[in-house]
Amino acid sequence: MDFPSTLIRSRPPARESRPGVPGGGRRGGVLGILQRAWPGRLDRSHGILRCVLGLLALWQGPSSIGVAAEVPGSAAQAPASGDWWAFRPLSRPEVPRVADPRGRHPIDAFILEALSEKALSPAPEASPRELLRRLHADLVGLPPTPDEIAAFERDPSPEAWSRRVDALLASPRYGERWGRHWLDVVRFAQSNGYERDGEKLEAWRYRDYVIRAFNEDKPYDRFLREQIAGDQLAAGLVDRDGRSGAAWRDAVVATGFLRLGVHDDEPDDKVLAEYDELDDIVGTTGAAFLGMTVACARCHDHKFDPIPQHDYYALLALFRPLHVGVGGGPGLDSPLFAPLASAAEVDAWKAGRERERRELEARREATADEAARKELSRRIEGLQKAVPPFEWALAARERGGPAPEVRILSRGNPRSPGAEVKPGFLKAAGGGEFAAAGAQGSPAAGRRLALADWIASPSNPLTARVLVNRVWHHHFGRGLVRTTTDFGRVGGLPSHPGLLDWLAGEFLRQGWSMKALHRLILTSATWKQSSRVPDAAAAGADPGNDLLWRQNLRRLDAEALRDTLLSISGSLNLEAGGRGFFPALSGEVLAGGSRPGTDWQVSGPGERARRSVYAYIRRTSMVPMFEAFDYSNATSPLAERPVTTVAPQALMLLNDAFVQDQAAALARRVREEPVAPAESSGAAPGSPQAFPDEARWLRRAWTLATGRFPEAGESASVAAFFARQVDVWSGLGHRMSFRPDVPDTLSVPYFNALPAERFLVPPGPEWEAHKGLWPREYEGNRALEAGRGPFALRRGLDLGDGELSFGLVPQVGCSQVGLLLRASVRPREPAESALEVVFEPREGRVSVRHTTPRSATRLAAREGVALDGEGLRVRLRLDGGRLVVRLGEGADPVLETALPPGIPPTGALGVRAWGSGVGLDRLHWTPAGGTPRALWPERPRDWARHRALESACLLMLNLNEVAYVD
Amino acid sequence: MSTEPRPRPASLCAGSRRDFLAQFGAGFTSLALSGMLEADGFFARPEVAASLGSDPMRVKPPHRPAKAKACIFLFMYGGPSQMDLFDYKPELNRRHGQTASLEQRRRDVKPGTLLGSKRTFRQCGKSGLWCSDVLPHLSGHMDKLAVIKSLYADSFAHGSAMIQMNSGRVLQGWPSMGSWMSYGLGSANVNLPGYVVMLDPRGGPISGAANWSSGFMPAAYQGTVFRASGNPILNLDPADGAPPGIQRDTITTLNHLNAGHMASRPGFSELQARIASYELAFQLQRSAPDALDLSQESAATLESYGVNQSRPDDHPLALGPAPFGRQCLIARRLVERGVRFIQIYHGGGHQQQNWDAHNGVEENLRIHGPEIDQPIAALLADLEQRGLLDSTLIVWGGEFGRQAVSQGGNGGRDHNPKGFTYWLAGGGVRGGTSYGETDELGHEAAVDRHHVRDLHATLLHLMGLDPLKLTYFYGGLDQKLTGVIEPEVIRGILA
Repeated sequence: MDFPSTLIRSRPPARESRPGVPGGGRRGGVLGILQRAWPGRLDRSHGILRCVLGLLALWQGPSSIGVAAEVPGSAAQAPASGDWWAFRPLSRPEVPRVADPRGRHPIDAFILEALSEKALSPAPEASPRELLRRLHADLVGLPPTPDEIAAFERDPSPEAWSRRVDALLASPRYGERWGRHWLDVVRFAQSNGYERDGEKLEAWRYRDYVIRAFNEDKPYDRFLREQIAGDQLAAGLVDRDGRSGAAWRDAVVATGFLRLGVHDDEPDDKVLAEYDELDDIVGTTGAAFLGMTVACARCHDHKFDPIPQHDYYALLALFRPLHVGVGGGPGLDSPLFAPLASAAEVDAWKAGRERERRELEARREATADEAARKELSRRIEGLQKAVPPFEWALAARERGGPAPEVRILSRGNPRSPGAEVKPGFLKAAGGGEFAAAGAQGSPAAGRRLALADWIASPSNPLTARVLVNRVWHHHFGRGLVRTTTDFGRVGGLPSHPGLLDWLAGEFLRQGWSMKALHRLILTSATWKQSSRVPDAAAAGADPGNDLLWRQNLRRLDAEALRDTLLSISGSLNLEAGGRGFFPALSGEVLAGGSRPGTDWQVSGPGERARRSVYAYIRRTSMVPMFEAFDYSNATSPLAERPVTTVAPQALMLLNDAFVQDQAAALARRVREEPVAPAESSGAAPGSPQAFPDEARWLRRAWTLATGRFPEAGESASVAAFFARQVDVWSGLGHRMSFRPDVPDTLSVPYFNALPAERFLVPPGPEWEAHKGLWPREYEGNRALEAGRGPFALRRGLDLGDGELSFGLVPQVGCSQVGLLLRASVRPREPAESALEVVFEPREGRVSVRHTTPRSATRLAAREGVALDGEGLRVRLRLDGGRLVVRLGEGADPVLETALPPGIPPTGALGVRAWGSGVGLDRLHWTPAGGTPRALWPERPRDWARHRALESACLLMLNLNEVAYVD
Repeated sequence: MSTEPRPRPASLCAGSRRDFLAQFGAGFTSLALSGMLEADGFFARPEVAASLGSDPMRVKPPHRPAKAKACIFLFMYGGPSQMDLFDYKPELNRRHGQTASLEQRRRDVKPGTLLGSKRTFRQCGKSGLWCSDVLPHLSGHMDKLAVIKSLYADSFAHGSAMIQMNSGRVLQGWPSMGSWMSYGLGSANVNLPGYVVMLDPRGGPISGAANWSSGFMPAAYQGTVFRASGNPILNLDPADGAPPGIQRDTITTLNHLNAGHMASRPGFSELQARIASYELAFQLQRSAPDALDLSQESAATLESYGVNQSRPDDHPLALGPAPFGRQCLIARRLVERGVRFIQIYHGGGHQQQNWDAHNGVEENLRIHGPEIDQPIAALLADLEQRGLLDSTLIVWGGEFGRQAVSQGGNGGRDHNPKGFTYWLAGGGVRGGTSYGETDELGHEAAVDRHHVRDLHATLLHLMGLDPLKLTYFYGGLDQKLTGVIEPEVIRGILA
C-alpha cells in the first residue's frame, strides 16, 4: 500500500454553525470547545478559569505522546483531554422536584423539568391498545393478539401494566428482540466476507449466547467481561468436579465477539490484514462498550476526542496476544476454535486417546501378520489426527508465550513502526497504565481481562452511560445522546444530562440489570405518552421532539416487520437457536454472486417461518427483505439504523413470494379458525349468522393485522375492494401460471439442493417440475443451455392426435414460453425430448422445434407476430404426422410442419417459461374424435372468494398501521 | 457537501440523520402523480409536497458545472490484459521467452518467462492511439477515448481489488462509487432507480452484491440490479402472477386507508412518504420494463449493437456480442431516461468466464474480445449520434491488469495491480489522449503514475463533484470515496 507523505487533511470545510461540533461552529478554539462541553453553563465569569484549564488540557494531551510531531497541525487541533462531559465521573443528580403531580416517577420529573423550561407540557397517556402494541413492539418485536389487547383494555390498571411488562420481559421472545439490537452493535454475521465469503462456523453460538444473556438478565458488567475476556474468566467457572457447565460454556462462547469481523482469506498484505483485524476488534470494542470512535486514532491522534494514537496502540496491545488473520476448522490446536470442554475434560479425552494408542501399539507389537500391522498403524495414525468429539465455539485463542511487541504505526502502516507502546487503556476516560500480569515481556494472559475489568468498573464514566442510552434509544427511537456509539465531541450532547446520569447511576444500583432498567422506563409517564398529539405550540418550539413532549411514531425495523407479518398470518415458528434458517432467495438475487447460491441452503417452509433473528447472515448474500428495510450492514458497528422509505419496500411487500405466502396464510387462518365468541359479541354485536362469511373474515383479518376492529368507513372500503376482487378473480379461475425463479448459472451444490419446483413454480400438484438442461459445469457452476430452461409436465395426460388450445398471457419480462408436445423425460437423461412450440413475446416470434437431451432443431418459424397481448388464443393441432399452429380466431395456420422422425405417437404435455412467468387461459386438450378436456385445476366454488380474500389480506399486511407503532 | 446546507448526520444536535431519513420522500426519486390520491389533490397539499421534497434521491446541484450528467461504467471483471489490448509493448514482445524477475504477488518477486503479446497493434485515428486487433470495431473510435495506462491499485486478489475499485478501500463495508454519486447528485429520473447494475449471464462478480453496496450509507443509495432479460427488477411483478389491475386497485385502496390513518397522526411526514412510495412502485412497474423494451429500437440500431447475433459455436464459454450489446443498448436507454450511474459487469463467475486469464490469455481474448467490441463501438457511436456523448461519461476497465510473464501451460497471465489501463470517453474527457506509461514490459506504472483513488477523484470531478467536499459522516469521520490521502484529479485527460 502506498502512504505518501501528504498527511491527513485538516478539518473539512466549514459548515453551518452547530453547537457541539468542532469545526462546525463559528466559535473555534478553546472557548468553542468549552462551550460545547458545557452548553449553557459557560458564562463570562467562568470563562477565564475554564479557558486556562482548557489550554492546560490542550497542552498536555498530544504532547505527551511521541508521535505528535509526525502529524503536523495536530497540536493545534487536538482536543482537550480534560473536561468533556462524557469523561467526567457520573454525577449523582437529585431528582428534580416538580410541582406537577405527573412528575412522581423520577424519569418524568427530569422530563417535566426540561419541558417546563420551555413552557411545554407532556402529552396525555396513549390508549391502552396503543400502549400494549408499543410495549410488545419494544420488548418482543411481535404484536399482541387481539385477545391480549381486549384483556388489557378491560383492565388497564398500573398493576395490570406491570404484569404485562413482567410477562414480556420473562418471555424468551424478549432476548430475541434485544439480542438482535446488540448484534447490530457487534457487526454480527456468519461469514467472512470477500471473495469466498466462507462460513464462520459456530458463529451462531454467539448469537444464541447473546439472546440467552438478555433472557437471563445477565448483569451487563458480566456480559461485557465475558465477551472481551470470557476465556480468561472461564477457569474460574468450571463446576466443582472440573466440568464445563453452562456458565463456563457461555464465557467461552461469548468471546466469539472478537471473531465476528470481516476476514480476508486472501489478503494482499498479510501483516496489514492482521492489523486490519485487530483494528476491527479495537474499533468495535470502543464503539460497543465505550461509545468512542477509537478507530479514528489508528493513523493519527484522534481529531476531535482526546484519544492520542498512543492510546489506540495501547488498546491494540491488549488484543495482540490473540491469533488474528487466520482460518481453518475446529481442532485442539485451532487458532479460531475452542472446544466446549474444560481443561479437565480435554485432558480426560487425551488420556483416553493415549490409552487407546498404547493398546493399539501393544497389539501391533504382538502380531506378526503384516496386513494386521498395517491396519493397526493406520488406526494409530488416525487417532493422532482425530478431532475430539466436542462441540466447538468460535472463540478467542491466544498465541501463547510472550505477546508480540506493539509499536505505534506511523499513519497505520505496519512497515513504519515507531515507538513501542505498552498495553493500556484510554487515559481520557480515566484509564492508566496497565499494571496487571501481562505487561510487556511477561505472559500475555490476562490483558483482555484487565481491559474488561476496567470497562466494567462502576467508575468508568462511559460504560453505564453508553448502555442506558442504548436502551433509551430503543424505547424512544432515539437516545438521550442521539449518537449512541459516539459520545465524543463529534457526537451529540445529551438532551437531558441529569437524567442520563441518574439512569446510569440507577442502572449500577440495580446491579447492571437491563430488565430493571426496562421496567423503570416502561413505567414512566414519559414513555407512555401518546404520539398522536396535535400540539402546534410544542411542534413549533421543539419540532424534533428533543424534549419528549410526546412519544415518537416508529416504523418497525426489518426483523420486527417480518416477524409481525408471520405472527399476523399465524405461521410464526418459534423454534429457537442453532445455525439458522436460509430465507428463500429469488433468481434475481442469486444472480448477483459469482457462484450463485454457493453456501446458501434450501430451508423448508416451516424453517422459513422462524423469527428473523435466526436467519443465516451471509455478508455477500444479504436477504432483500431485510436489506430493503434498513437492516444492519453486518460489517461494522451500527447502533442506529436509518429509517428510509423507498419504492422497493412497497414492491417487496406487495409482490414478494414470502409476503404473498403470509397473505395466503392469513386468509386461510381467518377462513378456517373457529368463530370466537368475541367475534360475535365484540364492539359490533351480532351473531355469526348475522355476518356473512366474508364480512367476518375481513373483519377478523383486519383485527389481527391492526389489533382493533375496523371502523365503518374502513370496513366499507375493504368490503368494496373485496367485491371488486371477487369479480376479477372470477374471470381468472381458468388461468394457470408458471413462473421460473432461477438465474442461468447456479453453483453446483445449490443446483442440486434446490428442488425443481423452485426452478419453475408450477400451478399445482398435477404438474411435475423439471430443472431443464444445464449441460455445462465450470468452476463449480452449472450453466443453463439457453432456451432449455425449467419446465413442468402434466401428470396423467397422453397426447396423441388432437388439438390443444389456450390463451397466452405472458407476464412482463417473459422472454420465452414453450408448449412441449409428446414430451418424455427418461430416467438418467438430463432433459426432455419433445416437439416444442416456442413463443418469444419480445421478439414477436413463434417457432417449432424438436428437442432431445442433446440437441434442439428448429423446424419452422414465423416472425412478426404480436404475442404480448392479454390472452392471444392459440391452437396447436397434432394430426397424422403434422403439427399446425393457429393464432387468434383465424382459420389459417401460422405455422405448419411435418413431425420429424423420432417424435413418438403419444407423449406428455409440458410447459416451459423463461424470463418471467406465463399464464395459460382455458388450456384444453381435445383428442381426435373425442371431447374437449379442460386441463386447468378444478377450482372450488369458493375459489374466487378465497383469492379475493388473499388480495384483501395482502392489502391489510401493507397498511401503515401495521408498519408503524404509535 | 458544501454546496448546500448539508444533511447533517446523527451526531449533530440540530437535524439528525434520523430526522433527515425519516423525512425521506418516496424512494427511487421524486414523485409520480397518479391514481386516486392525485384525484384527491393529496400530493398538492403543501405539507405533503414539502415532505416529498426531502427525497434522498432528489437532484442536488453539483459542486462545479460539469458536462457529464450520467456515467456508464463498463466493468471488465477479472482484470483485462493491458498489454494485449491498449498498452503496446514492443520491448516485451522482443523479449518474449526470456526470464525476468517481477513481483507476481505482493512482495513475491520471482523469475518468470516473459510472454509477449500475440496480438497485432496499430495506431488508430487522428490521434494515433494504439489498439490491438482484439477490438477491431472499437479501434475506429480511438479518437473519442482518453486511455490511462499508468494506474495502480493495492491488491493482487480479486476480492479486495474488486471492492477497492468500487469503493476505494480494500476493506468491505464502504459505499460504492455509484452510491457516492447518487448521494452527491441525486437522480434525474422520475420512475427508475438512480444507480443501476447489470450482470453477466454467466454469473455475478466475486463478492457479489458487496460491489454495489451502499456500505454505511442508507440502502436507498445502493445499486439496483437490473436484469437485461426477464423481469428487470426484484419483485417488479407479483410472484403469484396476479394481473396488473389487481395491483392498481390494491394500491389505490391501500393508500386511501393509509390516508385515513395519517389524518389522525399529524406531523409525521414519513406516513406521507410511505403512501407516495406505493404510487412510485406502481409507476416503476411500467417504466422499468419500458426501458428494456428494445422493440422500440430500429433494426439498424439493434444490428449495430449485435443484439441479434447468435452465440458462437467455437468456444463453450463464449456468448458473442448479444448479451453485452443488449446491456449497452439498455444503458443508453437508461441514460436517456435520466439514470445517473450505470455499471455493467462484463464477465461473471470464474476464470475464463471473465477476464481472469490464468488459463490462457489468447483463449480469453478470443472469448471476450468479440463480446464487448461491437457493443462498445456501437454505444459510442450511438451516443454521439444522439448528442448524448458530451453529457455521458463512459468508463472502461477492470479491478487490475495482468502480468508480463506467463502462467501455466496455456500462456496465461496472473493478476497485476501494479500497472493497468483504463479508458474514459464522453463528457469532459479529452478524446484521443494517451496518458501515462507502464515500464517497457507493461508490468508496472512508470510515468504519470496514479493510484485508483485518483481515478475515483477524476470520475467524481468529471461528474461535477469535488472529491474532498463529497463527504458522508460515519464512525466519527467525514468519510470520502477517496479516503484520507488527498487524491489528485488526472488533469491530463480532461477536455
